[in-house]
Amino acid sequence: MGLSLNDLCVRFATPSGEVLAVNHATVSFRQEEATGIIGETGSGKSVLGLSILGLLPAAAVSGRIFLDKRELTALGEREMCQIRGREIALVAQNPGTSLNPSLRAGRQIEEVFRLTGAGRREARARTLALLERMGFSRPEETARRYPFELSGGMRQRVLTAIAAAAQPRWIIADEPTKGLDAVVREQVYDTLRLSRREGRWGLLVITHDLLLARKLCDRIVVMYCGRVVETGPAPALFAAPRHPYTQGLIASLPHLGMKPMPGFSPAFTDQPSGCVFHPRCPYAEERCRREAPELTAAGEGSVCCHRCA
Amino acid sequence: MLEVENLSKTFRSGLAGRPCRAVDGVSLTVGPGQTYGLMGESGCGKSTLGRLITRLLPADGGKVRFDGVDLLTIRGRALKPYRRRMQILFQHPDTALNPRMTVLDSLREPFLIHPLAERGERDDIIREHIKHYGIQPELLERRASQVSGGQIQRVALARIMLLRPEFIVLDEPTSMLDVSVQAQIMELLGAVQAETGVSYLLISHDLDLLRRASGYMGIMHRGKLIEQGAAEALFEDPRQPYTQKLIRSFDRMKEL
Amino acid sequence: MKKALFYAALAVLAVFITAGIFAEVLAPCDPNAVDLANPLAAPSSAHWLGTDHLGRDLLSRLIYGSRSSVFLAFFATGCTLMAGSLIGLVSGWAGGWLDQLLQGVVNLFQGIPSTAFVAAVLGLLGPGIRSLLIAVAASSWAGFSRVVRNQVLAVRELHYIEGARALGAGSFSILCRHVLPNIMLPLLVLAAARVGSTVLTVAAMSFLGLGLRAPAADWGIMISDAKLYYIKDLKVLLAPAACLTLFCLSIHLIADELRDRLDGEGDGAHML
Repeated sequence: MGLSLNDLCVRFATPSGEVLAVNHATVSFRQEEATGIIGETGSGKSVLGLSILGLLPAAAVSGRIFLDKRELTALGEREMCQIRGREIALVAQNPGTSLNPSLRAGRQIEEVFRLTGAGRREARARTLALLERMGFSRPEETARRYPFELSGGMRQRVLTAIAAAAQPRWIIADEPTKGLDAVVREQVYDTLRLSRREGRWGLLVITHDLLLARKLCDRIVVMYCGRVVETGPAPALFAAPRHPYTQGLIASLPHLGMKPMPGFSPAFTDQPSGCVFHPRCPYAEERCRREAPELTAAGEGSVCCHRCA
Repeated sequence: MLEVENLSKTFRSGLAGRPCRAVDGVSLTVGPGQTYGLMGESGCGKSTLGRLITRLLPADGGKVRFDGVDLLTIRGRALKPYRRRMQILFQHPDTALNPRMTVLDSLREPFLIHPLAERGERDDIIREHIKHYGIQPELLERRASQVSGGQIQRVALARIMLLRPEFIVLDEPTSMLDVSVQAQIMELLGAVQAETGVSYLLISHDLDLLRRASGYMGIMHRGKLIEQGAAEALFEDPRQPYTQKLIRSFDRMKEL
Repeated sequence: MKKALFYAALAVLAVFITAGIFAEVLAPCDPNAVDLANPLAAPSSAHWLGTDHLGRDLLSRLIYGSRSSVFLAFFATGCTLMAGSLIGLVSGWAGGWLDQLLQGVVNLFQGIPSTAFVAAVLGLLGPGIRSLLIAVAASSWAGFSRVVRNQVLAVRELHYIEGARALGAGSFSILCRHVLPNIMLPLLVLAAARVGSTVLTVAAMSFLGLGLRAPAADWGIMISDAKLYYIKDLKVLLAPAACLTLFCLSIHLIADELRDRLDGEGDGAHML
């Protein structure tokens, strides 16, 4: 049971030619776990999230996405609408603009309950109960507020409550801590952690925030240049990263030394031969320049590197 | 080098708007070749402080002494020589450079304002200069919109350094960048400081970054500088409850 | 489809402009040559579109008319653009009391119905090209200056403007190097749309006898002349009215397409 991607590719046409934003990604996520997809700008992690929700033009996506035994990539738009929100919900990136500014917070959560068939009274009661479980000490007051009257952290919690209201089987959180201060970031962490207690859904956190991923998630998927380069259980992956890119990424965290990796992420239109990471890799050999490595099992996870195979 | 004394700024929204004290009696000193780390959450007035010091905003009161001269009393053209000696690097790479100009044009701008070199030598100076900042020569012909955020910050820094300033306000220079790019830019900033002896006022909301990059630190909260001291001492023994709360918050995210 | 319309509109505009520039070469007859023996004649090989009530060649009058209408419209819009931009730039960049004062004046001007205002100014200055230019510019600079001011306010806080100030650049050089190039495109879109309405204003004023004077060949005057005769012969009204409509329509199509293209670049053109 879970969500699995089989040889997923997402192609975009750009003025300088076709690019592969997601490059043959094969990976699966277990519903009983929280998975963090980490990567930097241009790693394809957000595009991966959008493709699971079927929010990209069908022509751009190839490969297959399965939700349990159903193939999402074979469904039509109407069927996908049934899945979005009800089975896979999204907590969008920007809580400032993802809430309707002219509706009270409570109303926006109630709407989800109404959509699933609850009456007005019942929706109201369930909204207040949900808000309380999401850590609002005075749910009535929060429900009456408009989004602009809420702080950034509170908005993020309301947004998460909206996603959770439909009791989906999966919640995808896209960059939940982008641009947030430390205290609010911690609140977001608490919210997501609480949300896991709220339901049995699988959590997919797409983030560049390594510390959030490490603290919140059970498994980590590392992406670089549209490719999955390493997967593994969070503690092991952070304690002993296998892929040189993961190692470099962790070493560049400020409290772990802030040691820079050499070079830059290549442009999608100008990808190096062989292993995409070889120009920046301290261990690169002749084979890495020639031959692209495959994602192969390693320990409790997998890694895409000739050295580790 | 730079002494800020009791600097204040109040914003008023509209004619009848409630006044908001963005910077409230801040005093701090940055020594030569030193990095002063200024920590604060969004809306605390830290960016306003950076703009007051660099005279991008007029201050309401206080003093900014640079080499013993109070900058706030200097007006008009007399300020220009000080502008050269004191610079600011901004947060958002997407608006740091004029999007309609090429990188080369942006780098030429300091020469148009200050008498730094003869006309004929300028492009050669630029081409030689950018090598030290990890900027590929082919970048020069591109427009700002075609350059990645990390590269833009390199160009912006290289441009500032053409002036050979003695003091730079770094206003969250890496907060919009990925961690690996952040590490590269911070290393570059460190190398530039080691070579030229420039002083930094490093503004950030990331305590870990400041702890690693600055010798002396201040914590800003609601317009006031509530605590300052040597960085390690401040982490070891924070006096203010707000500082303690911040440090705890960062520590908790690092725990498992 | 939209692309095709855009190119068609460009072609139409090109035809009008060429007709205006080369009126002497292109017009088959003298636009003011009266032939009283031959009024309201049907189209023939001598007069491709026939003649008007004084027997003047309709096609030639249309061609000369596009000279006065189109060129007056472009020129008047140019004057408006310059006056409005200058005031908007000063207002947005200076800020403070000067901004408040100028915006007060702008509000005043925007509150006056523009057609009535143009008519009043023309009444005061007397008819003629110079009066028309002044009247059109005076009636529509305010809208331009407001757009320019808002654009200036939007870019003045951007880092590259602050950065140029920190480098020590003066206001004039920042306005020329950084502000104007970055607000120019949305402004041009607005100006393009404005050319269309200026043609209408000029025609309306000529129609009312306040703009250009008969016998000048001008679409507004032609429509005005036609009001006594269109029952007998519809083409004398239809021909200049069609030119006017076609011209305005193509201007708006072009402005629309330009705006779409600029929107893609993330400029503030959507505020028009």
